[in-house]
Amino acid sequence: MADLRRSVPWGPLCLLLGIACLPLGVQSRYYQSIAVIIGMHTIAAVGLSLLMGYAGQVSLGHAAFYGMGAYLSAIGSTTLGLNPWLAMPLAALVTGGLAAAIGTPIFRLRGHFLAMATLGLGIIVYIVFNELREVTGGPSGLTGIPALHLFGLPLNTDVRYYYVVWTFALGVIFLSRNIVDSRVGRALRAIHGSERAAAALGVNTARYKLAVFTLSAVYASLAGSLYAHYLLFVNPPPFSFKFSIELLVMVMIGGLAHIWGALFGASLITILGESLRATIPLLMGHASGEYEIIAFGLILMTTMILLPEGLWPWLAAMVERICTVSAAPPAGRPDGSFSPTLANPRGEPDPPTPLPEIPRRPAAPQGPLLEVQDLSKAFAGLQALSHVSFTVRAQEILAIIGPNGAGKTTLFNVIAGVFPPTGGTIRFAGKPIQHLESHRIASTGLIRTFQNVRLFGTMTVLENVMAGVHQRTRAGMAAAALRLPRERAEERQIQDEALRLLSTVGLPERASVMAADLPFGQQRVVEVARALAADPTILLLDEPCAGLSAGEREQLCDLVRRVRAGGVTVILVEHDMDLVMGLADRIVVLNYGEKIAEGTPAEIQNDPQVVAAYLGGEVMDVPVGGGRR
Amino acid sequence: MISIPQLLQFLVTGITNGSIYALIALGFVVIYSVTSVINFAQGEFAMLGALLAVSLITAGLPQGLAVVVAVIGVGIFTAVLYKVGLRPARDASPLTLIIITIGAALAIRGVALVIWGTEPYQMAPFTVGSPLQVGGAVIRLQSLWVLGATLMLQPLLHLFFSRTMLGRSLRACAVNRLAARLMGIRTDRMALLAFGLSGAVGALGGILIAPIIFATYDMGLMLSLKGFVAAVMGGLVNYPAAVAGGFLLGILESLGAGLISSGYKDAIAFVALFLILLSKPRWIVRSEQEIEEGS
Repeated sequence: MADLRRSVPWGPLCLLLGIACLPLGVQSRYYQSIAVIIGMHTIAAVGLSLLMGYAGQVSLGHAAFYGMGAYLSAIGSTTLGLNPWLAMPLAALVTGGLAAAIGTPIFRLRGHFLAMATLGLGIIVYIVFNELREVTGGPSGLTGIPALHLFGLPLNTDVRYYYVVWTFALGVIFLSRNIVDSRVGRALRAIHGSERAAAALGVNTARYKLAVFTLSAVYASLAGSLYAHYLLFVNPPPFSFKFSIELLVMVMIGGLAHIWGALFGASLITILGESLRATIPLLMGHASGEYEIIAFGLILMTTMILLPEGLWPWLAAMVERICTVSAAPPAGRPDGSFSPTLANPRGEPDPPTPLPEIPRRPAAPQGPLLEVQDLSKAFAGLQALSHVSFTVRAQEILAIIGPNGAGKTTLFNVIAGVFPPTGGTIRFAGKPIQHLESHRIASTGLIRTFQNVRLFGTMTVLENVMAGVHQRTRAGMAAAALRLPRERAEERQIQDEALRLLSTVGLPERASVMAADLPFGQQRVVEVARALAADPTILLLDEPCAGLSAGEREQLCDLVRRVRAGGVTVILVEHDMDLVMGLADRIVVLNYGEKIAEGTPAEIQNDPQVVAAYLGGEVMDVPVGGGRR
Repeated sequence: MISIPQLLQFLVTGITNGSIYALIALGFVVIYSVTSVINFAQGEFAMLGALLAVSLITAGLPQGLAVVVAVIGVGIFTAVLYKVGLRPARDASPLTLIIITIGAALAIRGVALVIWGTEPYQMAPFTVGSPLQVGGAVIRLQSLWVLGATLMLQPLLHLFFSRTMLGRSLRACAVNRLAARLMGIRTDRMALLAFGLSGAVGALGGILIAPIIFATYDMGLMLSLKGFVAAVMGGLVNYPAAVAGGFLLGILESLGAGLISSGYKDAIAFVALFLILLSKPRWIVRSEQEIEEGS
């Protein structure tokens, strides 16, 4: 992480030099103009990459924002007579505002509905370009757009324009790289990994999705404005659905979660498109036509089938492999072998430079902390919970048990705000929370884990835990993009906190492993560490031991006890009677959505109703302490 | 104020166009319910059907035979498309799959451009005769064919899905793919069949309107989108509702074009799509939850 950042970025430096020197080597105006266009496409593709690759939200209508940038800039600098340098940011402002306004309802949708809605948006905007003749000039477009001037110098040659466009493009790449590698970036990738898990850590998913959508629209608008002041003429065809798809192909080729990949994809697709447009008509003998779509279509299909991660990451991995074959394997790299044991707790490593810690929540008041009263939840006729009431005291371990389908996970989901209850109240520290959204509940200090572990698979273990610190920290998109000192300081604190937690759970050496590559047992532990990073007042563990071996269970129980000793209240849903008997202070038993018993493990064991529910009437012979194994 | 004959005429046009949207929507529903894929290439099948049939007729085949050959040919093509394009990535996210179908749509359109060029093709009407006059509105005979075929297909599909083993197996896949597989249904083969069927239905749609509109290589995109909107209007998994959605969309469009502005005609479908999606009917919430669970 931090040490990686400090190493000299030779790749980007070479690229920068290449971009700076390119016009010196290219004399043909045609090639120069392609280089200019690539710069514009890069700007738009980087935005789309942030949206699709990092936040995992698709847009099939980004040409609309590119077109809006072009049209608004054109209208601003012709009809309204504004200076182009003023018209451009105004265009970006209006486009961004529109994206934010439309994004609010659109991003309530997911998956293919979102895809189709954005596609529809793109087509509506395209129709407006054609039909709003008084403003846009209709199909014949707008002419007489003034060129940009810089220090009195007209930017009317390809080479001059090239430098302006690429300054913008590299600026956009720089800002975006910073955003990606920050608290905001982690939140975006968390949303991509699992929206529900992100919300459970206090990430306001709707707000972040909207913010990144707006940002990508602003980028596209900027690219469009540059386009308008370059061609000095705009008409609708360049902003059709086809261009949205071209942008999509660029991002896909570049690999979704790679900012530099967007540059690669934009270059490749622009060059490919241009050369196909130039050569195919010669081969075909037809006058013209969009023959290049065959290539785009096939590229899109084959990439998605064979290299869903994109061409660029694949190439980068190839290059890396070739380079590392010759060099000795770097020291201190995780060897990738998985020990069967869950964790090997080590002593706390002493931090090299003590940083001020991230503020924690005020300690929970003593007495009843969570009061569930008369809680009911029905799904389309199925009564999953009916009139469940219980109280959780501060710093106790409460287990919720019950046979399959008893409503345990539903109860958890209702408490955590995944869906609202049909009736009843939940009070946390005296305040009703039953109608709050997940992320708001998380920010009150109720943090959950999931029955099927929901780590963010494409993030490292450390980043996962860092994402857990999200709601205790503040840095926003602007601070991240500009790398303000306070944001950097906070980032170091976050990393420190995450490393400390990884040590606590005994997995410090796993920090740089991709979460998806961890063995299952360790994934469970990392998920707990991630939840702890959110500084929970109450930790909700949903079947934390499901799928673990006996040894791993023992270690997880030990961890839960240590967490409680640290002042955290724990509620856990569990299937395994033995484990619960040895761990919990009190137990609530659910059956068919109703509470049938509540009490200490000893009381529960002797409760005839519980015995009947679990064993169908037979007598239970499980000794207290879970000693069956 | 518009006159009654004008209004009738709008309705006739709307129902004719709506029939095509309905047929495309049926294709969406068949594929979506069996495989959970939104097949963006749906409209391209209509284009292929129309252009293929025209070419076959030009080559000397009798019209009826040409139609049958084109419908079956596109059906087979669609099944092959599933086999080479979607089957290898079937475990990918719904979004990846939709992007693959977009790629397929582009490639198909491009190849059609190479084969048929940009010029429009027109097919002779199925029956020769002068248009009917009803209450001042003109009804082309072909419109009756279009409407009749759409309405006929409805009970036929119903019979297929409720009375035949194959149809029931397809429905089983739609309800629960895993359970269907556990019951010994070869879900993969069912997906192949669903694609073939929806390709054939789409091709039929394209052929039916070929005598009314000019068939061009790029007619597929709009048909895909409108068909999707119609399918969404009907809830995406309901056949009769999808057909009703198609008619409704067709009528809305033709009224909108007539009463407001013909330029904005295409926008109507998407405004409707927005309104439906954003009102978030229960079925959308449900299928989104499935997406979320799957992730």
